[in-house]
Amino acid sequence: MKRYCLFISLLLLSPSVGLAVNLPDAYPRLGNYFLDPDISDSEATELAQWDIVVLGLETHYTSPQAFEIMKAANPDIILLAYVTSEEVPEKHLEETDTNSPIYKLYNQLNSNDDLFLKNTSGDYLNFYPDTRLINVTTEWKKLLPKFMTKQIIQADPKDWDGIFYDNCFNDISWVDDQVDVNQDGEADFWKTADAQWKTGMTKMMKQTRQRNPNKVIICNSNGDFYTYINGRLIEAFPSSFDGGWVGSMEKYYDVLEAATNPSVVIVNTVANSADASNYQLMRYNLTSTLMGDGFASFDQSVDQHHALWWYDEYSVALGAPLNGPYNVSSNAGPDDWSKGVWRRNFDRGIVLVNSSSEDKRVILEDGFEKILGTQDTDLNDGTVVGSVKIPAHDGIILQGRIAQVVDDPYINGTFAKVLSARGKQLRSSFFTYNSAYNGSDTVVQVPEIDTEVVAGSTYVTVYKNGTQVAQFAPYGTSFTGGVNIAVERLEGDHKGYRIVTGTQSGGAQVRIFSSRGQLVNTGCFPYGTDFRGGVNVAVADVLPNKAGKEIVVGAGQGGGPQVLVLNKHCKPTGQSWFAYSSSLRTGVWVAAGDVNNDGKDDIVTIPGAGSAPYVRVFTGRGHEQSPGFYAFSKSNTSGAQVAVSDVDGDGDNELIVMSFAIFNE
Amino acid sequence: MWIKHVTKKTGHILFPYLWHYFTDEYKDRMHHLVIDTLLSFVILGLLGSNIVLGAWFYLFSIQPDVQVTITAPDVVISGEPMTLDTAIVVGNKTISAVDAKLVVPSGFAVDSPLEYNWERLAAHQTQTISTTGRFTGNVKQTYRAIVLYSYHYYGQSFSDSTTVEFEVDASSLEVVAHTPDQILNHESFTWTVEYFNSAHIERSQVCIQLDIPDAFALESSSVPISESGQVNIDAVPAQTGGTISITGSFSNAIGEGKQVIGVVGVDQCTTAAWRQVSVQQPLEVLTPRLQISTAGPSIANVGDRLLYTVTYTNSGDVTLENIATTVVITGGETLYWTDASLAAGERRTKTFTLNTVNSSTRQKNLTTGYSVSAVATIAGIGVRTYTPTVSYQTKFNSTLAVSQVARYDLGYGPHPLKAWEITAVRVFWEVEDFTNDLSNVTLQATLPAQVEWTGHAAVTEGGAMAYDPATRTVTWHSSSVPSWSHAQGASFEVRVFPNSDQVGKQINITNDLVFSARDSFTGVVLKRFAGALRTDQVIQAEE
Repeated sequence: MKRYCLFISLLLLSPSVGLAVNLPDAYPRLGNYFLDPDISDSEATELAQWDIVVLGLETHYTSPQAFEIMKAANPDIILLAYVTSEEVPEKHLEETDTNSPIYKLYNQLNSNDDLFLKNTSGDYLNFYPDTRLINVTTEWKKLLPKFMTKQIIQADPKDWDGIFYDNCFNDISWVDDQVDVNQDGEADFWKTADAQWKTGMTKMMKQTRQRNPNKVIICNSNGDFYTYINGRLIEAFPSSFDGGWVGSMEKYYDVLEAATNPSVVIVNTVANSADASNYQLMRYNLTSTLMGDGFASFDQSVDQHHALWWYDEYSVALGAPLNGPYNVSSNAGPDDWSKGVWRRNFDRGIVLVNSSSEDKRVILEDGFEKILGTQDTDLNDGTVVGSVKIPAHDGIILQGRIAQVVDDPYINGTFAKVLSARGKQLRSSFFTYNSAYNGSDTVVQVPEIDTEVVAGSTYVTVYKNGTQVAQFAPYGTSFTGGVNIAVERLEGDHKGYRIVTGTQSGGAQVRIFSSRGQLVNTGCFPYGTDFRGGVNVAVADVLPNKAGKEIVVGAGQGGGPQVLVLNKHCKPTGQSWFAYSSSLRTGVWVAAGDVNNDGKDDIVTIPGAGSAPYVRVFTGRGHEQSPGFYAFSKSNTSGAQVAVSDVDGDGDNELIVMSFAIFNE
Repeated sequence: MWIKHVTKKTGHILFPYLWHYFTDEYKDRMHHLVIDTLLSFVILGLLGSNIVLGAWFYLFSIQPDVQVTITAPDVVISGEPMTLDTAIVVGNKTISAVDAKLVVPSGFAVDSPLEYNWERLAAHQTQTISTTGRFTGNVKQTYRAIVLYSYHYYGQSFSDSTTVEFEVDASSLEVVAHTPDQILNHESFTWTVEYFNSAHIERSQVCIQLDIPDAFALESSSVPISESGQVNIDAVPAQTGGTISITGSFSNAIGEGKQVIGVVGVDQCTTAAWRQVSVQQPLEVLTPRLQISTAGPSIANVGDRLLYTVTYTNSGDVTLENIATTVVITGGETLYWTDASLAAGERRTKTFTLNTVNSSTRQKNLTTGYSVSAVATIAGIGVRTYTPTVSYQTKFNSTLAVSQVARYDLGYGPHPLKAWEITAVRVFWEVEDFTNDLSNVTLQATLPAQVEWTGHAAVTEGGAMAYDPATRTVTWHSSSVPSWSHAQGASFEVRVFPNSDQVGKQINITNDLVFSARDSFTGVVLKRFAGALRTDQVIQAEE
């Protein structure tokens, strides 16, 4: 018995609810309050970009395919079923489709008039046109949680991640001074009415939580039910009702602190227009939201919550926050919200919001990169800035400058361009450099396993969390011709990493090692033992129907630009082609990965020194994917290399072209 | 009747019957007939015996006429293929059980059988045998091949032999010695022995036997030489050869005299030791009488004008005549000087200048210089003497360009710079146009007060850049920078924050850049300076 008491005590002491969903680690967190129940496939595809979406409770009935699309496109999306907790639109009372959840829920009201809130004259009460208030002190406080649980959540438990209760007010006396909550025919004393109302709402929330211990439950209003719910939606931020920006931020933070963990706060701002181009207001919402850990939402109006407005800022991958917000002038934290410029730092950038009524210039301690956008291009022009002027009631997201290529080899110290598969510049160029290693070393940083593999003229060295764990000479200690490397899960995504080596000069032998430098495969000479120009290597799943990943090789300097695709055992797959004229003798550098983000790994090529830096993208079978382009000036023949890497952390790969040629410009 | 009949039938051979028949009829003298008959049988027996005896004599007392010859090629080359032709000519008697066996010299590696036999060789038949192989032997030595043969003739056995002699004319293991015609006493020189196996098979266990005069002091050789002067070569593949270099000098020679170096190749020297063609190479050893010394700059920079001096001295005790001095300058240009005579102990000096390496020349480990030698006639004895060739080399330091460049497009902020506004600039330190490998490379500059180090830096070689905030010094060091690799250098970002006093002026982004590195070829520590890096435009007033 004592053992059970202890167990129950531990459960009660548990500070948070174990949700079945994971809140996104990456920022910005985005929410969409989308109350149109008829969702087309294209709308569903667009909605999948948001992290959390509030949908009408009938949406699964009206647009079941939308759930499939959204969950497939974004498995981590959080979908909340919207329902009003204490009112009903009158049109719902007239619903005739008996299969509709709307009918099933609200038809209970038609058969039991006592569930409505009335005044002493027996009038239905409302605070919003064309609605009726429901008396939450009645059975409704149980009926609604039961319905939402049984008929909505449990009917489609994989699709719904929680419940969104609209209008969870703490009190009710403000609706009508003759309100009769207890239905005794007499006007209730306001305090009594409010207390009973709150008790009813509290029970409703408690019931909801008890029935849905692992789901997200949030409300829209100031209702103080955070013992049972995860947070709220702040509508029409910053609202003068909440005390403007300062008051809204205080409420925002109050909820973040008070709500059941993990807190979910959607900060919604409305444009009061169908025009999506109020970028300043959108930024004000987004940057203010980013001062906390809530979800930013921007749409038309409080009556029209069904916008699919997507902004350049939404696509920025800020990563995780590094700290809390602080006032740039006073250095005050969120305990002392005051108007001014506020800042929060993230892994990959910073966020600034100017809540004051005057423009502010902020001097930055380092250079930050503006978004290279397509909408408000006067602001988001992609330039690097050391200071920024922020208009009143505006904000800005600045990206940290890219410093390193990840998951693909780079030559330490080279100047790198960040391009799309078609050659469009995506981010500012940068020097890909790790000061821990010598210039010109070949480096592969593998964040997934906290490992860096560094190749010099003879040795390959493996570092784990900065500590050397292995060193080996793949071609013997007397070889000084330079080692090329690729580090990948060669055997498949669930197998260990392999280090595939090639040579920068000399015999063109490919060899395969474990991540600790043990020889796994003695390798092969894909261009024969007579070729002495070295071999460039890359690894990716360029032939998806074959087991494991493939080793893609390109001949080194002096060889023809022949690309060969080898299997994981270093055996030919039969895929071989000349990426450029076969008469070239500059060799060809290869990289591999999904560079056009179509879900399939590609092969990217660029000729070696002596030829113009013309980039091409191929499938694993040698079909050119898109028109090639010159990564640097056509006359620049000093040689370049390519990599496929998600350098900005947005989940999509970029094409990186690297060269020391900048020293010759 | 029957008798007559008999006598008639056999009369042509039984002459006693015929005789008595025609001269003495046997009428009533039948005993005569008996006697004659007996006599006839005796005669017939004797006649038959004679015939038998004659036949026996022919068959068994006259040996069959069998001619066996063996011939060798007219020219025999050691190590080359050779064929011995053997012919067996049978006369008018058929012979049987014929055996022939060739006995060849030990150096004849045959690739065909040496023994043959036939059950029968008919009369008037000629049987030939070609014995092929590769013969190796001592050059100019005579060797003999023998054919031993036997046969039967009606129960009789006969045997005999035939020989052929041949001389080895030459060898396919060719050995040639290259020595100077003249050499000075104590002058170190290198002579070479070239060997070549022109045969189509590999030769193993080859030796080169050197006959080196006692006066020759060996200094070094490309292969080990035994005390007996032998060089062992495990194998010389077909159609290949090699060279043996031997360096040394003659010592203790007095006056002018001749020495002879002998060289001979030895095939299979550890087993058969076939000596091949020997070579005798004479050379004249002279006493030094003319000396040359040189002087000039040992290290220079590309584009420098170089002054060289050549001094030659008669170090002998007699006058030298017709002295001709030749200077061959790197690149092929040649200078000549002649002097009619140079008395014993006399010295003369010549100078010349070179500016052959112009400033646009770019070559790794570049050198220039010259070699000088002279010849003269020794008065009195009329012998031509000479000097060793003396060379002088000038090494060139690496060409080198060091610069610092500001890239505003890789930074941020206003350009031109404005007072009280931050502009970030990417500074490039570039080391270009260097021809030799460099080591211990260091570039260093200080930052002015209004310039801030941001920590964003990258290098093409070596370790990371360092910034010392106490001295405001930026340093890049690399232990080595190879020539002819990609562009070399370092780049870093600084933030410039001009003040209002600097409006209208160009200000320093970095102060003077100091470069130092050791030239790995010349060993010289090279230093270069690049001036301060200034803003490209004057500072603008704040808005």
